[in-house]
Amino acid sequence: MADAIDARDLVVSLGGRPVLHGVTLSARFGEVLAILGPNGAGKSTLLRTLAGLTAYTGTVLLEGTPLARLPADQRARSISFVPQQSPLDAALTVREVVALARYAHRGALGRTRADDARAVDEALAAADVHALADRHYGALSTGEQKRTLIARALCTGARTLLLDEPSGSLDIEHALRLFALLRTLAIEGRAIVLVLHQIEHALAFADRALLLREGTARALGPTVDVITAAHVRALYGVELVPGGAPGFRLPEGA
Amino acid sequence: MRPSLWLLLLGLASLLVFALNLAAGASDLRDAALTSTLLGLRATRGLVAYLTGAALAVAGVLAQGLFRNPLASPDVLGTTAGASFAGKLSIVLLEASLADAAARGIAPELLLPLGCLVGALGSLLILLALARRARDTVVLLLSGFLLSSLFLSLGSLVTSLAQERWELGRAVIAFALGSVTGAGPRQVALIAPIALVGTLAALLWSRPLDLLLSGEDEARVLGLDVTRARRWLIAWTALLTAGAVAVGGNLGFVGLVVPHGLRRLVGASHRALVPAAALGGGAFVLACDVLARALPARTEVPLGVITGLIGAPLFLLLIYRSRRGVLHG
Repeated sequence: MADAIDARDLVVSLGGRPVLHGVTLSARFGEVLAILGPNGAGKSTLLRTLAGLTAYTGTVLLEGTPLARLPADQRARSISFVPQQSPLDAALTVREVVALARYAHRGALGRTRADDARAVDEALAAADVHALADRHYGALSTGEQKRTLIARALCTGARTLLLDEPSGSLDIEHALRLFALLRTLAIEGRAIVLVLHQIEHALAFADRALLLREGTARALGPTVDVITAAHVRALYGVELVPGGAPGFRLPEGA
Repeated sequence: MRPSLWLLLLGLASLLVFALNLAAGASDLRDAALTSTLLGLRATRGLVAYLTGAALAVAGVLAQGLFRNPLASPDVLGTTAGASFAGKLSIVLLEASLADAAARGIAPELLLPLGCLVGALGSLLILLALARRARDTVVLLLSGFLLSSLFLSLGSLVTSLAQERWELGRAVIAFALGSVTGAGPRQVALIAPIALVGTLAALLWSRPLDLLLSGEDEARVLGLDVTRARRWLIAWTALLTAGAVAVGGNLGFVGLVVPHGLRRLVGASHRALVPAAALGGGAFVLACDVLARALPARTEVPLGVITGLIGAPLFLLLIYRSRRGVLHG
């Protein structure tokens, strides 16, 4: 089976400034891949490029097919992207926002399909926003908005999910629940690619990690092999303290 | 309250205003000999006013979706002024080359709407080119204001040149002020298909418009062909604005205030907002036309003056009642 994403020699410039210099990576179904690196390393640009939102040179294959050759709705059914923040600021309910994800599954003349409502309900439940379904998106807290955007991405039915700092605005319980959900999705066969700032989250929840610095991939491999004291020092200029930080987990049965 | 109930209320309000429209006027309906003629004239005029308002309000919804900005509307963005300028030019050209046009197989009555369409499209395309360079709301609105001023100045130039011939001058001024006085079956035949097809098209584009509320990047990720959507939304906005300007002239604030006010009632989802705007815009312009006829004045107050006099303060009220401030969308 082809990899979820197979990207080679990606070069991206933004406003004439080179941001990525020949990055190569693969993301596999059944795995969580974390992209790590200091601020300005090009992590978000890499994710946006994989989502088809940035012009690039090099190749990006999505399940074996060149990304650029996929029609918009077919691409949306294959890969979804959760940004750090959405510019959405309209009086739409959470259910309406999540239902937007079904556009790529529309029937003739853009009509909704019979299974749309079920898909929306499932996504609302999976991201734990079912209780907020009738609230206006703009009236939610940042963390609730993030969970709504994750529900929307799940509702596309895409097998590959790209998430830019998904735990950034979540409290610790919701962050842990989100990572547990992402792990479950990976076990069910999806490919999860996420940009992370917390190295401990990558160690706890990701299978593999890509280390990025100044637009160049410094290492790619299993998390425990890649996140070493030497790499952390080279990447962030700090020393890794083994077992130094307090750890958290959800209570048994949660 | 559910959006469907608001739609029902707007439909009932439309019927009420239409009934008022039949009753309002200087002539007495009790004169049996004139009753059917008067009712026919008022119904036709009312229909044109209603459809013009519907077209402008739906064009406003499309423009606001296209530019992702609740302050966008055909008049704020200069689309109406572009259509109006080209419409005036068409009136002058029509006068100058009536025989030429007929000889080339162009029906003379189509010159004005075609001119308005070219003006509206041209204006929107210029603005879109400017907006792509600067996505900031203030820059967009200032660009629209400048474009509007430019087309209004060009329109004034045409008005002034047309004054050399008295009848032509009057025709151009009447068109500029905005009015449905004397509207007949020809105007109905022009605006009815444009308003109906344009509203249906806007309904078909309601899901893409909802997607665009999240910005072009997210809409693209969710499967929207943004380039194609933008092209069609421009075309429908231009057609609806052009049709409305061709039959009603320059009716300010309808495309801005109606969608803006109704969004608070029916929500931001375009599946409800588009039909609500069509019903609300129609009822608003028709009510203004009834008022124009009911006001005690020696000559009838132009419809465009009434929509502006009511629309501008209403819009200010909506802005100041907005808790978040309209500039932040």
